[in-house]
Amino acid sequence: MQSLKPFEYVEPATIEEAVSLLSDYADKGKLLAGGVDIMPRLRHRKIKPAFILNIKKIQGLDYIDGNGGDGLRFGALTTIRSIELSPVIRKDYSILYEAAHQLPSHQVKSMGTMVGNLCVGTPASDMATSLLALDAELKIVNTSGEKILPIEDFYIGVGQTVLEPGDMVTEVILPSVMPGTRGSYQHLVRTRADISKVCVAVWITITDGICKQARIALGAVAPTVFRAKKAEALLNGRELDQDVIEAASQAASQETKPITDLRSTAEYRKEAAGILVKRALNKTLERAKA
Amino acid sequence: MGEELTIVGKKVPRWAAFEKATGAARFTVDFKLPEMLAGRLLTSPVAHANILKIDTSRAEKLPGVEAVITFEDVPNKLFNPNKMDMCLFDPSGELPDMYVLSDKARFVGDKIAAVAAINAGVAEEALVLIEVEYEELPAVFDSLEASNPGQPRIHDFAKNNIALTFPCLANRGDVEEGFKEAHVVVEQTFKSSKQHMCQMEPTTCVADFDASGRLTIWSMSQHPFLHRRKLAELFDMPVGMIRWKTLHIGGGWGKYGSFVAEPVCVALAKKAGRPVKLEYSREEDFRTTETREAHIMTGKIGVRKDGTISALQNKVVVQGGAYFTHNSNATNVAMGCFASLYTCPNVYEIADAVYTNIPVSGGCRGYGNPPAMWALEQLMDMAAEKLGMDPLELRLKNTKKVGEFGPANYALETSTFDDCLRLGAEKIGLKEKRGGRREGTKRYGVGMAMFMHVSGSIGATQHRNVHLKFNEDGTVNLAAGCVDLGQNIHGTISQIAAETLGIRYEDIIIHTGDTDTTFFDQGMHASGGLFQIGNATVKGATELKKLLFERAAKMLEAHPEDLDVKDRWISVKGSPDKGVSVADVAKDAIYNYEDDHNHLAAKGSYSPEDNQPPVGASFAEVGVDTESGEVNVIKLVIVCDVGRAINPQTVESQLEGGASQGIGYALTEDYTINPETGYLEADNYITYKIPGAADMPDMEIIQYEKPVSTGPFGAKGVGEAAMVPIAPAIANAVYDAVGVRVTDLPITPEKILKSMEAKREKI
Ligand SMILES: Cc1cc2nc3c(=O)[nH]c(=O)nc-3n(C[C@H](O)[C@H](O)[C@H](O)COP(=O)(O)OP(=O)(O)OC[C@H]3O[C@@H](n4cnc5c(N)ncnc54)[C@H](O)[C@@H]3O)c2cc1C
Repeated sequence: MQSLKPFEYVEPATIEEAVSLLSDYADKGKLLAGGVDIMPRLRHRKIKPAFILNIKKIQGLDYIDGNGGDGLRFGALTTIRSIELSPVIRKDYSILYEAAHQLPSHQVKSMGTMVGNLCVGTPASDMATSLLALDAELKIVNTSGEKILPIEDFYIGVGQTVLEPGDMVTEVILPSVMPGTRGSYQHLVRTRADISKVCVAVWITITDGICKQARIALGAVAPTVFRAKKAEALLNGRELDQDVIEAASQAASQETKPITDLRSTAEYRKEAAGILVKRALNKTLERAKA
Repeated sequence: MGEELTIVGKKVPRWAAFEKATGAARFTVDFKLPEMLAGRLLTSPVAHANILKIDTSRAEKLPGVEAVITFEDVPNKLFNPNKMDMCLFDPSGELPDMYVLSDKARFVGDKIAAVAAINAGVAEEALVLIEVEYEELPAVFDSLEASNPGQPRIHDFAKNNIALTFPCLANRGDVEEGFKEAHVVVEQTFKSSKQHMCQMEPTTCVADFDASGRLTIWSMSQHPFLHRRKLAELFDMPVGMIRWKTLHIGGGWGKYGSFVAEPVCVALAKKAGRPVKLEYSREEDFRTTETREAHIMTGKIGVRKDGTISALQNKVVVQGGAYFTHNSNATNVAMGCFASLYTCPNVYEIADAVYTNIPVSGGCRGYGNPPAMWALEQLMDMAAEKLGMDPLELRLKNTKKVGEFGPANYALETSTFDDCLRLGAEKIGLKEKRGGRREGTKRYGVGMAMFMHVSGSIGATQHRNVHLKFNEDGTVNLAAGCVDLGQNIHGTISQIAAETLGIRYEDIIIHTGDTDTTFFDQGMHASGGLFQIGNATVKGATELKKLLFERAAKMLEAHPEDLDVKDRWISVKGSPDKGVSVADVAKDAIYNYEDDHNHLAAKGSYSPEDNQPPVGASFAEVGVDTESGEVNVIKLVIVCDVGRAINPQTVESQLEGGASQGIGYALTEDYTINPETGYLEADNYITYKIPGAADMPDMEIIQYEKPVSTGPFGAKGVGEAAMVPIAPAIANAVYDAVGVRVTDLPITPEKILKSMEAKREKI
């Protein structure tokens, strides 16, 4: 086993203290939440921070508040497992539940925070894909104050977010859910415990059989998770019949810019993205009718 | 086998289950000695290079560093890390072509240098300070390419990178004539893959020289005695100057049939003059240690009109990697299994072992049998289709009968292939399900594959010993030279000893893992442990029982032949009340106040007189999504004739475990080498995917018991069996579902879609 390179370790007690330290450390500091992602990176010396700032001791960051009617918020220390086990999320934001639930490792879900997952910035994040379809917002705090940012504007590249040294995400905010909204989360993996080759989340409001608003988010098929807006446009205002679904699926597939890696080939990913969008739309339709 | 068994055949708790489940078991990776240093390895970052210079001076100066070694500090002797040359009659097979540390880099991961320091952090820092000047050479990664003229030469002696060309030992008849007789002939090339063992405990070794220069080594080796001798020869030491110890082993599946960390660890300890623990990271484990050997097999089968096989041919290219390791033996097993599963008068096989600049290969569960069945059992289905015969029928036409020879060249005492095939076919619903149910984009199919393995290795010395002694409370110390790497050999031989002696399972105290205190044992491989050590245990326990009865007879004033023992109580046959407890007899042998002492102890030795193979068949039901190419294994049925299940729970877990490894081999385990750099890309469990519990299909394991007279209580080997037939059964099921055949492992959705597309284009 590889050992850790020495670093200084601090445990701030408040958000204010955390962001003030983060701003002092600048690019030499690294924030630690569940440590699921960071620990292997430290061991493999992929990152070599001089300071590790563990936020786990900060009170009041582990919560799930609200519901689909009013909107919902959860904090920086809310674990994926808590999200998975929340009856409200399962009922009102089903695709977030599905994304969390598909992760088979209880160790990862119990240690890993949802915010930590988002901050890693991998385009293959099932969680980010779902939250993008849900139109989530992130609360970002630094020494000069706080701001709210749509998750859509959060990612800028593989492993890259807009976060600057000194920034901390404290909360995720989900908008209220319009009546008649249903969705589906779909992904392809090599084994159950693998990172997705392709993942898709759709979240659609259907009134009187007509699609009022569609959001289709895709993961692992471009440098960042993204919304397939051309595909969405094909759905909005239309009845979801097989022709519309087929056209939207193909449009979504066209919007991907995948790569070839160990998990799959670019070619396959592009095709599979369309298949998953189709599966997700059909599933959503099925749920809307139920 | 008329007698009633009380312990054999029962699901007693497996050995060390409690310790392992609670975390109390100590593995090599947990082991510590005072003054112990941490060892770390420096491996080559390039696939092929001359080493112009290694400057270790900066590393040596780092405070806390106690030893830095390179090829100059290790024996100037070529060797082969595989132990097989120590047990074969003909030791010429496995070429010695490597040094403990290399003077030339031949693959990414080749061992170049090592450091021992006061802690792991310092050792790792020191590695960075070792300056190696590599002169990069062109490299070749593909075995088919490597033997073309003009390719970079990896070892001086091997022209066109062909290390050795060797025919199958079971070649017979005349294949040309055989193919002439055939009504249909099918030829196809199959590629298997370098499956990684994925043992849970990363490779670890501890070495310590005492003041007299005697070396104690704690390692995960599956062959402590053979490796002790090998190490002694390598380091020019008398064998007696080495004591080899074994703690709990976190899996092996054949990896520790070779030296792994031992020689480097010993060289470090020697130079540092302090104990050293050399521990591999998971990535090093993937990159530097042995995997299953991969083969490219061009197989050809000829079948007569009546369905009997007239000829089998197989041209094999061994994708062995940069060093020879197990190329000869693993491939001999592959060819032997290919030649011997079915009755066939004409067989010709030949193999080229080819060097490439990729990591080394070795023996992994099933050895060469899984790649051989990957080819043969698909050829069978292809031939059946061409002949217009049901594949089950074709197999039934060709199964071996009693008296024909198994892969280890012993006559079969029983033949249960037909029973296993029929039983499995019925359980999976072969007839009803064949031909593909359709549901939306999904197609369903079923497939099968047969198998026969061995109970011990082929053509090798397989000497096994145990010794047993009674304690005065009636418990028995059972000491054996074997090691338990999770297969529960400790538990099953304890059951055998207890059953034979008429005492309880918990009365047996097993002791293994120390070459100083146990007799020679050939080691754990080839599913031979239970068949052979079980037999040694029967012998030793029978001898001990004789001594026990002699003493009891005196005490009871009876004849030893008239005695019986059951549940710790010795009695005179016919009058169960007239008796004495086993403990009282054992105690009397030690604490006899008339000075009639003779501690009851015995030895059991076994050299195989026979090798009855486990046989059976597996059946897979799969769903294939025609849009995404996803393969979903819905159900597996595995029928295995194990002779007798000494512990049915152990047998079940061995068969289930083998099947899960087989599913990984079939579908997800992809040993991806970067075609430009030779770098192993899948080098940990995030990138290299083995299936987990959530991926397992519904599995039905059927333990078919037909005891053989030469096995202990009728038992045969089982450890590797289920690994063998799974991949071809799944491939045949996929073909049944969607009509395409993927011939290179693993069967990925990408390959299925491609094959489906190619098929559409053909039409
Ligand atoms: C075996 C395994 C399986 C997995 N499977 C999946 C899967 O199926 N789907 C999926 O989407 N993910 C999966 N993951 C990823 C996993 O969910 C994330 O690694 C984990 O949630 C990260 O959260 P953490 O709290 O441990 O983050 P940490 O490791 O503590 O931190 C991760 C990164 O986020 C930063 N960070 C953390 N919190 C904050 C904050 N509040 N503000 C600013 N920056 C912050 C850290 O500085 C660091 O860079 C898997 C991981 C493993 C190891």
